[in-house]
Amino acid sequence: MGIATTCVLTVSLLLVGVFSLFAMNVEILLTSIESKNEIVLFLKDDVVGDDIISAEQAIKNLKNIAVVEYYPREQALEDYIKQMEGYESVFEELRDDNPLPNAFNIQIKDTSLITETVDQMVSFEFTDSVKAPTDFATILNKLKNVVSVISIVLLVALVAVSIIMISNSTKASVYTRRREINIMKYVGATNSFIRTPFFFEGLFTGLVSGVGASVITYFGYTALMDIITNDISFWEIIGVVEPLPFDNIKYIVFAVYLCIGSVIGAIGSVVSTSKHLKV
Amino acid sequence: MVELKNVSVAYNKGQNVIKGIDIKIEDGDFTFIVGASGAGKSTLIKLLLKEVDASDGSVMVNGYNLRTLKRNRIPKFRRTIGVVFQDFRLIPTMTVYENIAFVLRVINAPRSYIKKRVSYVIGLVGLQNKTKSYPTELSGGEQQRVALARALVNDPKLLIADEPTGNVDPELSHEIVGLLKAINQCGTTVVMVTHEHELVKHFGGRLININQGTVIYDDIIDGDDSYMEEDV
Repeated sequence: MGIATTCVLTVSLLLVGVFSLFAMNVEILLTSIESKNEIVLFLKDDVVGDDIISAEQAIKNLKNIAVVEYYPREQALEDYIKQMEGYESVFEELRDDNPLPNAFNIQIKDTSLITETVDQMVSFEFTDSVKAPTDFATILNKLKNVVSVISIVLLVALVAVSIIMISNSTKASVYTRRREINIMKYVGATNSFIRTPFFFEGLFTGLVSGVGASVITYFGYTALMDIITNDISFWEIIGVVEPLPFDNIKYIVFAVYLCIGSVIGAIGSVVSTSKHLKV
Repeated sequence: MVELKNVSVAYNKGQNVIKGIDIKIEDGDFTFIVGASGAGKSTLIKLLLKEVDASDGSVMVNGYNLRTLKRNRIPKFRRTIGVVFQDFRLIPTMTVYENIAFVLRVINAPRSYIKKRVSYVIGLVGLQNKTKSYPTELSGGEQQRVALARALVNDPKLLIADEPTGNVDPELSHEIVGLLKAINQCGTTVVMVTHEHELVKHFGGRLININQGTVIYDDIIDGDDSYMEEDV
């Protein structure tokens, strides 16, 4: 196996690796957007004092609840006035007769269950109304599902294409040594004896390709993230967390590259040899 | 010993390439196999090497019943046979020494034995001065002698030479058959496939003539060419 096989395997690994990193970042992005969507439960006017504490506990007891934060009407008015910059005086008189209700800001664990959770909240005695981004959550969930399916399909396709590419490449390499294999068979070499050097050669090629793909991914990913995060503040504009830092996953990426590379290299090499062993 | 009883080989359904032949070659024999192109000579060699299987009859080679021999036992069986091909089949990236030694490496022979044995067979075929040469640096006759040394290095019971003189000039052909005869004198059974009747007449001995998958002549010849009259 030569430079051509190593290059083909490196490119194949890069295709799989780059796409996996892209899919992971999309997942992080969607999860981040998801976590920004809060449900607001407005309390009835007559719910005061200890009843508020009981209400908070009742909400927390629901299965799908992640965070519950009490949002008193006074705070709501303060925040509202702050938002109305330049017109503060118009709303100042509302301090004496605050029309806003007490509320809870709630985050749920699984947005796919938002409708059921909202229904449970509405059924409480203390609930006046519930404001929930159910439509948005539904769309987001559908989007996540679509992304997951596309990711899996593309990943499987890329791995399949990689195996075919490697198989063809190793076939060409093994073909040039078919005479050697043929002679070995005639002088009584066992199949395992013949395969062993091809196996280790494939393994070595896979490891070299894995190292190559790791280096390219490291520099490529880091450079791309620098451009996205520094120059246009992309992540701040859309108001979500930053992309996955490569340092957090570099050892996993390297290990996966080396493992997949060596396995595909070794298997591709051994499989390609088999055809010439039938003498 | 080689013993074929009522052996047929069919590559395609109903199309027998070998048709119910009986051949017995005793240990220590030297046998020429002749026949026109497509007569079944190559198939017979493949049969003896278990490269193809008989569709009928029994095939015994060096004590192995090839009809019942399992695939994982084929390497061990083949180690009892040496093969020389018309096109030499040497590995171009290996030197003369390596081409011969690698047969013994295949069977995990000790390094000291490999060194001793390879030097011995190289001497036997007269290539002491070419041990470090590559096949491309050798003449056709020298390459065939390397192939012969490779076939002999693991001391086979049976040596099969498939048209070993096909790619060398007449003078070298005599030299190669002379070498095969010498090897036979040391006790190795030799089966040589050839279409060169001149060689057969010159060296004499047992001759099997195959035509259209059947044996049409099997006898000792001694310089005469009466067997050719039966060749179609």
